[in-house]
Amino acid sequence: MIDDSQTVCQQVSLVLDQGGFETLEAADGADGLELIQKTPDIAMVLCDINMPRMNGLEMVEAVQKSGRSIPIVMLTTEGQPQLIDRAKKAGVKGWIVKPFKGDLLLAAVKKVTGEK
Amino acid sequence: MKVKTLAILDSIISESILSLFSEYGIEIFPIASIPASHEHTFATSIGFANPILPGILAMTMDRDLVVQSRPAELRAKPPSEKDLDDWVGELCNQLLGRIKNQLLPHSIALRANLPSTARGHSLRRALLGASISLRMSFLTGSSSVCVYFDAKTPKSLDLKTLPAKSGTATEGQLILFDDSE
Repeated sequence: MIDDSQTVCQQVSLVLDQGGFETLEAADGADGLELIQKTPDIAMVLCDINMPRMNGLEMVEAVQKSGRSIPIVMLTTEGQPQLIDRAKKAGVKGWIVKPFKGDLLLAAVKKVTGEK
Repeated sequence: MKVKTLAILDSIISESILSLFSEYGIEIFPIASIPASHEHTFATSIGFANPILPGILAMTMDRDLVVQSRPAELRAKPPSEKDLDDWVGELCNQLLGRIKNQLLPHSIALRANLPSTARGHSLRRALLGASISLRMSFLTGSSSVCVYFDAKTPKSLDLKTLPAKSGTATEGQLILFDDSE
């Protein structure tokens, strides 16, 4: 979970913990990229867009450039079609506009990770 | 500034505030001004950039409302002051997100900065030469929130009433991309 809001990270972690997932957290795109690079068994990434140092789309593009194949879903307040298209072109698997419903988030994570 | 443009902006912001708090289970009502007995000890603001509508969105509210508005999943655990600082900033971020998404059909794409938060007593806003300055106050029980939308915009800004549209992803929406697309 990559978001500069600790509250959002806590909220996501609680929802996913209840669904049987373990969550790692990073506070911006740069930290997120480092975490992804050093953690080989990440099943998927949830990522905000507007963050300090490196934004979410820049991080997604950096992951894509590195050749690492990992499902990423954006979790953001942004709804702009151009941003959604840019994310899709960078290989993002989905887009959720905050605020999110816990059950919807869990369903999306299960679908993307292939967990039942 | 055309009266209709100001009315449309007013409506976008007001609806965004009501729907955001409603999303967190809080029904708020517009009021003319915050009761003198309410002390707003949290303030948060986010700057936004756009060639014709640059400005700042700010909110002030009392501590109880910050606590009550936290996501339902987190309410079982008492928040630290740091948690509340973070949450009030995120709340302002989500409010600006709603406003941004409603301005997109008007071909106005705001670029948001990061939120900043202040905590203290007798917090007051400094108005820095804005050409639009909207202030809205809302009440819920014994709590209240005040939202300020200040922007520097040319007199020629002309927003039209638009039919519901399209293309913009809305709050709470989940889009999963099909690999075959």
